[in-house]
Amino acid sequence: MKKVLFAIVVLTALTVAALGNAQSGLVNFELKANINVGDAPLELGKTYKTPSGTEYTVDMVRFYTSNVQLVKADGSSLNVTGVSLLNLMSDAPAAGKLMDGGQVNNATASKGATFFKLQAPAGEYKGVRFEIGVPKDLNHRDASTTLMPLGLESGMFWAWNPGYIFFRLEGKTLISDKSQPWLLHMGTDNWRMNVNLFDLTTNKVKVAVTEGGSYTVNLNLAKLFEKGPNSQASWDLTNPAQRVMHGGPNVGQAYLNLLGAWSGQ
Amino acid sequence: MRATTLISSFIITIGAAIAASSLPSYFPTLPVPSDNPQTPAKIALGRQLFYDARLSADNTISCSSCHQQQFAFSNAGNKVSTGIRGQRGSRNAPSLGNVAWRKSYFWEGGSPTLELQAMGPITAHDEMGMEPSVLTKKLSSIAGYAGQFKAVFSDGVTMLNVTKAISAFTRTLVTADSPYDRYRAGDLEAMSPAALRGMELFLGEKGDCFHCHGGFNFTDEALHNTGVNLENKDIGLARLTGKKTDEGKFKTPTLRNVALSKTYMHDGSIPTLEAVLEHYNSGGKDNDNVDVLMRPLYLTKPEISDLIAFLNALTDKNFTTDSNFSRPKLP
Repeated sequence: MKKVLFAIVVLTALTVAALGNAQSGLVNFELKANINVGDAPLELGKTYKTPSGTEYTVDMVRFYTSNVQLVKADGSSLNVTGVSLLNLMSDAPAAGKLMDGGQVNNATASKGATFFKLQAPAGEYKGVRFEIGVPKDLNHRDASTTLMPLGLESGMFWAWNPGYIFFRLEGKTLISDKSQPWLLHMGTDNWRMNVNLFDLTTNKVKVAVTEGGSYTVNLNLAKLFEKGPNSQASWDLTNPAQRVMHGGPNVGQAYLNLLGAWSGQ
Repeated sequence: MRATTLISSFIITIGAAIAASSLPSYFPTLPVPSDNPQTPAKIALGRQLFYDARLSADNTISCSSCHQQQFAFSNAGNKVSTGIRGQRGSRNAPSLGNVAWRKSYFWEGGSPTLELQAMGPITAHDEMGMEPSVLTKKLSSIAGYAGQFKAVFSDGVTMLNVTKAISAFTRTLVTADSPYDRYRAGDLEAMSPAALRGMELFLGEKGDCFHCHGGFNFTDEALHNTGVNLENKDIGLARLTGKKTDEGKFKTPTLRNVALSKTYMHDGSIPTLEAVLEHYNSGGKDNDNVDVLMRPLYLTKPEISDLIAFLNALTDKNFTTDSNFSRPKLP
C-alpha cells in the first residue's frame, strides 16, 4: 500500500512539473560536450603526445559555463540564466548546497558529458553561444558566503586572485623519465572565453530544442598544444612556464588555442 | 538572548580586552571579522590544523613547514617553498607576524582576507595540493577533528570552517616585543647606539626606508616594483590586472623580525640583509616599471651597518619561543 501511495505521489509531482513547464511553454534541454583529443574521446589517465612529442595525460577537466544564449532565426537571442560547473574527473566533489541558478554536472566519461541544463521554449534555433567562465558580477563576490557551484567548497576558488578558475585542466607529463604534474588554470575577467556556435547563413548549426533533448558540442583538447606562446611552433610541456600555468603571460596563447577548440555538430 | 550567544559574546569581549591591553599603544585594535569571531576553542583547532601535515595531499606538508616559529613564521632561510612531492615554488614565504593587520594577502595582494588566503597554500598544486572535497572528507574521518569542528562550528567540517579556524590561530600571531618596541615604551637602553643611529636614517630622507616601510608594522601595505629584476618572469600584480605597467610590483612586507627570515624579496633572491641594503643603496636594477622612489642613496658603509643594527632591533625573541604558538598535540 505504501509503495502504491509513494508511486502516486511521485507521478503527481512529475505530472504537476510537466504541466507547469507546458503552461510556461518551456522544455527541459541539455548542452552536452564531446571532450576529445583529436578525433577520439578523451580517456582520463591515458597517455597522449603533444605535437612536439612530449607524453601527457589528462586527469581532470573542469569548467564553468554561463551566459548561455540560444540564437533565433532572426539573429536575436534567448538568454538563459545560471552558472554551471562541469567536473570531468574520477572523484568529483559532491554538489553541496546550490546557489540560485547554480548547477554542478559531474561526469566520468568524456563523450556526451552534460555541462549545462536549461529550460527554454521548444523550437529550432540556429545556434548557441555561451561563456566559459563565471560572470563578472558573481566572480568577485565574497567566496566565503557563496554557494555551489561557486564558493570555497567548489575547488575552483583562486585564492591569490579574487575570483575563480574558469577552466581547469590537470594531468601528468613525463620529463626526463620523471612524472610531473602539468596544469592550466585559466581565470580572471580577461580570460572569460566566448564560444559562438551559430551560423545563420549556411544553416550549418541547428539546435532543435525539445523536451528531454540535447545539443552536443565538441571540445578538442589537442588544440591547446597546437601553437606555443611567443611564436613557438607548438606547446612545450618540458618548459616549466608552459607546463604549469596559474594565469601568467602564457595563458593568453592557451586562451586563443582553446577558443579554436570548440565546434558544433 | 540565548545562553550560548551570551557566552560567546563574553569570550569575544574578554579576548578583545586581553588583546587590547597587551598591545602597545601605537598598535591599532586587533581586526577580527564579525563572521569569524575569535574563541579559544577555534584558535586551538586552528593551531592544530596549522601544524598538521595531513592537510596536504600526501601528508608531508603543513602550513608550519614554510612558516616556522623559530624564524618568526617565515621559511628558515629557504629562498622559495618546497611543496608536496618535492615541488619547488617560485616565491619566498613571508613571516606571519602581525598578519591580522595586513590589508591584503599574497605577494601581489590578490586575496582580501586571511580566511580566503588560507585556501591558497592548501589547494596550490605545488604547495599542499589538496582538493577541498578530499580534505573535508579526510578531516571528518579523524574523530578528534570531527568533534572539535562540531563544537566550534554548527555545520562541522567544511572548507570554509578549515580556513576560519586557521585564520583564528594566525590572527593571534602578534609580535610587539622587540627592542624597538621596548624603546618606544620608554626603555631607553633597549636599543644600541648603532641601532638608534640606524633608526634615524631609516625614518629620514637619507635612508628613505620609511616611505614604504612606515607605520607600526613597517609596511605601507602597497605594491611596488623595487627593481629586483631586469626582466620580470614573475609578473606580480600584473597577474591580477593584466597591465604591463603592473609587472614586477609586489606587496611591501613587514620588517618586523626581518633578520630572522634570512632570505629576502618575493623570490628570496637576495640572501642577506647586507645585500638587501646594497640593493637599495644602488637604486635597484632599472626596468620599465621601477618605482619612482628607487634611486641611489649614497649611504656609507657605517650608515649601512647602523641600518642593519636597527633592523636587528626589530627582532622579537619572545615571539619565536611563545608556547601559545608552538606545535600542539594533534588528534
